[in-house]
Amino acid sequence: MVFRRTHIAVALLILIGSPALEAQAPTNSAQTASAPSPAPGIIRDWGISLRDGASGRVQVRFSSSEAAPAKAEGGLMPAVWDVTGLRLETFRADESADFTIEAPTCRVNVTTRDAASPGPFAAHRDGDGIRMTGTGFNFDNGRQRLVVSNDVRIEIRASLVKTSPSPK
Amino acid sequence: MIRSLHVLRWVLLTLLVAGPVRAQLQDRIQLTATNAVLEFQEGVYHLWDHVRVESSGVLTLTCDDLRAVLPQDKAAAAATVAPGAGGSGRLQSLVATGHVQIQFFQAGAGGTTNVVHASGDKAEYGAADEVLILTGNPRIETGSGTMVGTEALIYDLKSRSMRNRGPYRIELRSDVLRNSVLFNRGTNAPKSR
Repeated sequence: MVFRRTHIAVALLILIGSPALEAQAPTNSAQTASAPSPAPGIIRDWGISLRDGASGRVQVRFSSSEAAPAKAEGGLMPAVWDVTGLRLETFRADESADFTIEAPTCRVNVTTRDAASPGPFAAHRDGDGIRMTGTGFNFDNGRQRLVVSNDVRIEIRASLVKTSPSPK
Repeated sequence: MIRSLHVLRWVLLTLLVAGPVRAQLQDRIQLTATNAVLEFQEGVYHLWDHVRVESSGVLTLTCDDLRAVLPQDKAAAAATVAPGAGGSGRLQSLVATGHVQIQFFQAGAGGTTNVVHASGDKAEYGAADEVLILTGNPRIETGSGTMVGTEALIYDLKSRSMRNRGPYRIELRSDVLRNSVLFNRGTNAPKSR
């Protein structure tokens, strides 16, 4: 399973990194650069949808205004990217949108599907109106967990804490 | 004396129930803290360090550690949920620990605001049985007096009743009894001349 996911991720990265394939990549599995890179290794309008290896459903979608491979990353294809203008969307089992996280800067690992940033971020879920801001986060996709390290502010609808009707 | 205790109990119940009822009328509840962990699948929100929960004009809660469970409503999740529809999970449970301070606000007569102050080491709320359990030196203060429990003070949101686990003590403000019949009854004592 891990082997298969890794292959999917690598294939997506190849799609992203190949200018020749950019024009023919408007699939759900990868939405790629639409503008020339301003500098070598930097991709504008970067986006990637990551699917569950077994079910094929979209789990997470990363998109950003710019992305560049992290310098420390080695190997054939970088897994870790430094992105600006991140938009991270998680999806439920029926592929409807769940949480959306936005951050000015972020480091994304497309293999593990994790994202982290020491800077500010904002998140929201339209379904129940939960909104959140904070400084410094780590999104662990495997455990579906978001860790916030500073200045957490969460807003929820009061209707979510409604009790049953009072007896008359 | 017993009658006065009943009066105080009604006052406490009325003020306590006012918080949740008015909370339904307010739109947003804000939770702030230094740190937080959100477990998306389980719907667990864990906040710690300088935790504050505020529903404007209704209640404020401060504590060291707060764990709330708002599980995803599977039926709502499966359906297409329109933005703002509020179709996801409801609060299932809430546990606040460490220096728990809760203040309920209620509009009083003449534009005043009555404040009920509850404190303890731990406050637990369970949506299944809809009770709020205050433990660890539980204490509830109103304008009329103070109820101090030794083990737990339990408020049932459904029946609007309060009960205790273990002995408790009620401290009434002296002016509450000023007009009570308790101290204005006729006695057999001879009239002073």
